[in-house]
Amino acid sequence: MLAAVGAVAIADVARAAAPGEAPPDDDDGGLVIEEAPPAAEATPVVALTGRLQVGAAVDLDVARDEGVVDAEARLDLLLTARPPGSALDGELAMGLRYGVLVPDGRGERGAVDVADARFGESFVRWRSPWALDVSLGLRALRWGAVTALRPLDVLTPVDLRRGAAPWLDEPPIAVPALSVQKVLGRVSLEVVWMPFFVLDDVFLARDDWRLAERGAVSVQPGVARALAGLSERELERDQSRVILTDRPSSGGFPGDVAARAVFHGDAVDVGLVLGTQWERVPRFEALPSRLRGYATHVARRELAGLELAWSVLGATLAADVLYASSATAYRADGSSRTTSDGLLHWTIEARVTPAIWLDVAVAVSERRLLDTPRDAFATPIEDEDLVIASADSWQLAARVGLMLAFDGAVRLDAALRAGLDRADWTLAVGVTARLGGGASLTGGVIVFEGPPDGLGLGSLYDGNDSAYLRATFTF
Amino acid sequence: MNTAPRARSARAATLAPLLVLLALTAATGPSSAADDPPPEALAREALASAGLGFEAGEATLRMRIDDGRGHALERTLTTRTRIDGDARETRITFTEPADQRGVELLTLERGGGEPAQYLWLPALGKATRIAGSALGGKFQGSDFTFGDLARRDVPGRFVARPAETLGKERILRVDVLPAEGDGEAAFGRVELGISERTRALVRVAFHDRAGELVRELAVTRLSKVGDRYVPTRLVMSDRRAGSKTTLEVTRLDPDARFPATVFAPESLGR
Repeated sequence: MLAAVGAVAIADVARAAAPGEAPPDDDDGGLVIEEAPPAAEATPVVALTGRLQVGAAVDLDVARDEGVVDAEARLDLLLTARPPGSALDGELAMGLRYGVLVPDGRGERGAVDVADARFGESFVRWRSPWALDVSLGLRALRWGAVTALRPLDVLTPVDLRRGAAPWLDEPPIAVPALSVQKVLGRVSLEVVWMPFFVLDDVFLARDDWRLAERGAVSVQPGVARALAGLSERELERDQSRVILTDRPSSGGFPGDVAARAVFHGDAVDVGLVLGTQWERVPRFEALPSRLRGYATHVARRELAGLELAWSVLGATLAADVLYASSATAYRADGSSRTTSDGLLHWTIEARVTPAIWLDVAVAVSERRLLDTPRDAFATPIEDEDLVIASADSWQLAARVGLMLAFDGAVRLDAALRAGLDRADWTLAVGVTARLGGGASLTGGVIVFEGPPDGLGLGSLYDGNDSAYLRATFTF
Repeated sequence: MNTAPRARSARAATLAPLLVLLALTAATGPSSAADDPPPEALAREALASAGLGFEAGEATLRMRIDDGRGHALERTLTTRTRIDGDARETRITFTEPADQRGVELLTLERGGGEPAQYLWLPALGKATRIAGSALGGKFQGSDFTFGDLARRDVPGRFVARPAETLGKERILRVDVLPAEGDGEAAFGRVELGISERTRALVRVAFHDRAGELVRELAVTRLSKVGDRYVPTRLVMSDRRAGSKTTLEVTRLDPDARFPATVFAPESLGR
């Protein structure tokens, strides 16, 4: 995987000069001996960086009643403060987004748009001289050793409103947290307290939408697409939206508390995760007519997890296992069902970079409700157009990065995500060209396939194949 | 012979990835120059003085990669290093160009074994462990390998060669040959050039087992930090590919100290 670094990094990374524009080389090949070190440059105390993305997606399924062009612009800003010599530092991140859906004229709908702003990781941190860090603010902690189908990514809610491509993980939602990190030799300890309950975000606006499981909903080409099933008149009735953002009403310790300990060996990292949390389900933004009911009960559960990363035979093998003491299925009629024996979710992943220009990762995952007969939730439920959480499932994820130019100026990424017991799959292929000066252009396609009555990702979005083009400018 | 002081306590934040290769567990070979110090001691001294890999402190580096076909890339990175006994921890953060900003590489070297390395890619959002066998892979597309950025033991025999002159400097030369019976050595011969006056390593040439020069590291600038000289500009050339990478220290703070939490893999990206 090390080489992966190289490959990914190179591809991900930048080119300061466009091809053929070699900057002057100031190296004369001689030996200079100076009697003083290089003069220290002033390190900026505060720095503002950011990224602007502008893109559009179009339907590839021309047989649909109405096609759409889904355009979006997003600006991410990051303000960092690192006073030299100070034990205090901090970050402030914010994302601004504007999306518009333009129908192709075959239907009656007009254009609709959506805009929002959200803080990212924004915190103040104290780095004590005793190998103890304390941070307070909005954090998005991502634990675990695997990079796909992550079982231990349960502390941070995700924003599923803007699905993109399967290889992109769900964007995390930064939540208020107090974090304490301590290093003891080769062991890293972290304890986090998140006092407020924050749900995942998902737009639900189509009658035929169902959520099968966490992490499987992030593929819709855009927020605007999510709104495609609504009329302008309906969209104007914002006041009628149902937004399930209530905090859990039942008792218990306030908030989520979790701890992680990781031992870093020469070839192996082994970690243990323990915690207690409110079980998180998506927050719905939809119209009452389309969401016939909803559940307000949120169960509390305990977590225990193991993570492992092992460098062996030129590859990195990683595994995460999560046991949660309960898991709840919510249905559109307002009913819910909580398992008594809990949930087991594990993923094994292999990452390898056989050459600097090739990076491959493959992961297999199983998620199982322990007290539920297999497939009990995998069968579509009549008259219930919404099922959240947790059908049992086997999944496979594969990711390939291929550098098409020496310096990573052109890179191809492909990702496959398949439900092994659902006969559905999703494939995304994209090519990114680095244009220099922090600019890049990405184009690709996303394809969904699955049985019409399936609960897997490919089934849920079958018929929503799209092609996209996105320009990115980083500054 | 100049005997410039080389106090080990003066730890400069320099890069000497070069030397990575040779963390000397070597047998001593014969010396051919009677007036020069024994080759093993000379080499050990130079390598120790140069500080294998990044030493404690903080530095800003500029990297320039020429692919030999008229294309060039320039990158800027900062290094933070902490030394605790036999352990050396180095965190490299790319700051320029903009779309590479935030890429981080953490190298943990502990007691002579294979270093553990972790990569943070902002798009991935978490640190990932890097496989040890990939240490030969190029670092960020440069002519330096990941292994060059970490210490590794390379058994070998040290053989003195006739000195040469580079400008006004007399350069002492030592060859490192594979240990007897070592049929798996990465190189057939590694040639070291050491400045007699500063006792700093100024050249490392890697020859394959057929004797062909395949990689060459040249120190083109030494700077005095405290009471010793450290490389602050060096060039790694790949003779086969025709490419070369220049690393230049543009800022140096050898007194910077960091808590251990900075070098925890969990801290990458934060």
